[in-house]
Amino acid sequence: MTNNCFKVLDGGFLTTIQDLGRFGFASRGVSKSGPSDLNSFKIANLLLENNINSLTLEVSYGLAKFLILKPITISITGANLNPLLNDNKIPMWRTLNVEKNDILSFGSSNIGFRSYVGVAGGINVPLVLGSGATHLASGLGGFSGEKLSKDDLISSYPLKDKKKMFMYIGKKNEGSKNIKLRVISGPQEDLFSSKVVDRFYSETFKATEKLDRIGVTLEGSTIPTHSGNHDIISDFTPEGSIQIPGNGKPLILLSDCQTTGGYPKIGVVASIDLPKLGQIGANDSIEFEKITVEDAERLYKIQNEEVSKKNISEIVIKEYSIGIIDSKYHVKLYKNDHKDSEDFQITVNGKYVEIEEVIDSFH
Amino acid sequence: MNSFLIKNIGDRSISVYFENIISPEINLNIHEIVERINKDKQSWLVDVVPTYNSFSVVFDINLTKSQEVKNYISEVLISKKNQEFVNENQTIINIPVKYGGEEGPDLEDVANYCNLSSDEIVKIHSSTLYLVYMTGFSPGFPYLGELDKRIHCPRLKKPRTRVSSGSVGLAGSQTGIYSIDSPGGWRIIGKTPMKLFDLKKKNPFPIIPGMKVKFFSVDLKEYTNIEKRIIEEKDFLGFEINND
Repeated sequence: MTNNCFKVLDGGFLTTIQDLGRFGFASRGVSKSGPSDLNSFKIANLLLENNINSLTLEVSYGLAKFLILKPITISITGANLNPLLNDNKIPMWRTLNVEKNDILSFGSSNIGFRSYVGVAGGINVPLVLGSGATHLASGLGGFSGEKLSKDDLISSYPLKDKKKMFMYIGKKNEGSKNIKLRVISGPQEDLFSSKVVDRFYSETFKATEKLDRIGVTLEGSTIPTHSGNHDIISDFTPEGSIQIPGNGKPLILLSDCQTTGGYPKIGVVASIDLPKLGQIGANDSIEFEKITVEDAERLYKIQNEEVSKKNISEIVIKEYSIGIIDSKYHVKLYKNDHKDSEDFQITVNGKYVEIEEVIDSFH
Repeated sequence: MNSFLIKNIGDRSISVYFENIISPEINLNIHEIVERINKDKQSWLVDVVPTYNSFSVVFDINLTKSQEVKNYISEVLISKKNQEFVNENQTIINIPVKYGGEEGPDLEDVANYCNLSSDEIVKIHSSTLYLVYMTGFSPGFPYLGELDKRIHCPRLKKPRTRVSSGSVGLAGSQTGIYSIDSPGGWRIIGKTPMKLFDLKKKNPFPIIPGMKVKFFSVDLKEYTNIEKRIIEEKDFLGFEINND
């Protein structure tokens, strides 16, 4: 039996295959790549009881379309790019069973930028230097090192058991029009006057359309060095580096960035807020807040507990048959077994319906 | 021992900066320290990245903290003061290059800019022993120095959208080799059939920071022969090694 699970009908704006990333080769000039929004990626796998490093789809901006080739369990997390199954809205942040010949498609959204599609068992591609993550600039990993396009066949690892259904009930990283990024001061902050540094941390910037998996260029007030020289001797540039090139416009580096760079880094985004970078879309407002490394470490611990099994809750399905005049409706209520969560979904005759108002809680 | 500054680069890497100049002494010192840290294999270590005058230690934030990594690096630097670390990369890699023509479209422009003949450019470029200061830009791309002052020339005003892998370029005081097909603004004076990044070979990265390299000029026939052998012979990488 073939393990193909998706056929790509439309790759959309940009869809790639990602795992946690390619580690240990930065000294050889190999980019880490990996998901732009690590937390949503992790949750997509946690929901499916996958290995945390399992390969998922990263759908940027949306407009992608897939034909399902066999019954599988999937999860969709990250930005709400209005996913549809056979033209019906489907819920995110939970597991979903899809059937052969179903069509999974994405719209788009002006809030948030990237969705993750997890597949039970994980997507199966050959590993390159220990990782299946796609790095577009060097053509490494994923599906022949390229973005997905029409007629690509995606396979997954086979699964023996049918999966239980789960829902994520923790804090979600869905993107926002106003993003605040916590930043640790960078190794070249001293190339900027204190007045310019204060300006950097007090003004609001705007994300331009110059954004991809490598970086996001911001516009707003310019951030000049005091000497006017923006060339430094090239040094290491991790994900989250905020470079200031000669035009004075901040450039924030994402997961596909080069390993070294020659522009001064005024700051580096703290690990807790790296997932937010992956959800920045054009015209989003960006503000920076300086924090200490100690605070960054403390907050990371707290966030890491949030993005964990603790917030994955099994779905309890309650079925009802409702007759109204001459029609009969089969209603399924999907709720989770966590006492503090009010998340639930309802299907009527197999289709998810939008809930306008909850008159009485079922607790 | 040079003076240095230890700085945070975010909350999952620490960089150590030496004097703010490009110098082979400082860079070799860095490679010795990097080699030592790599050998130490701390459980939290993700990567050590040497650059011109700094190196960065990337760590697993789930296993340690910045302060602990800083303490560790300080200890390594102090022990470096007391004992000589050995650079084990004493090999010299001899790289064949077909200079000029289709393989080196900018050779004549470079000659004109430098007020030298093409032959003189080739002679100067291929007679220097270069240090691999760092790799970056793309997998396996080596930044080599020092380039003879007589052949320093600026980058192209308009970068090419595609430079083919193996192209040997000049940019200011640097020379380097494109390891994969990529956009690029360096002036291309020649091309090597050698693969600087080849996943089909047992060692995908034949040239690593701290090594020494030298170029030698080959004609098109020799170039083609070497190219053929690289494809046919599994362990042939296209360069010659001198062990000093």
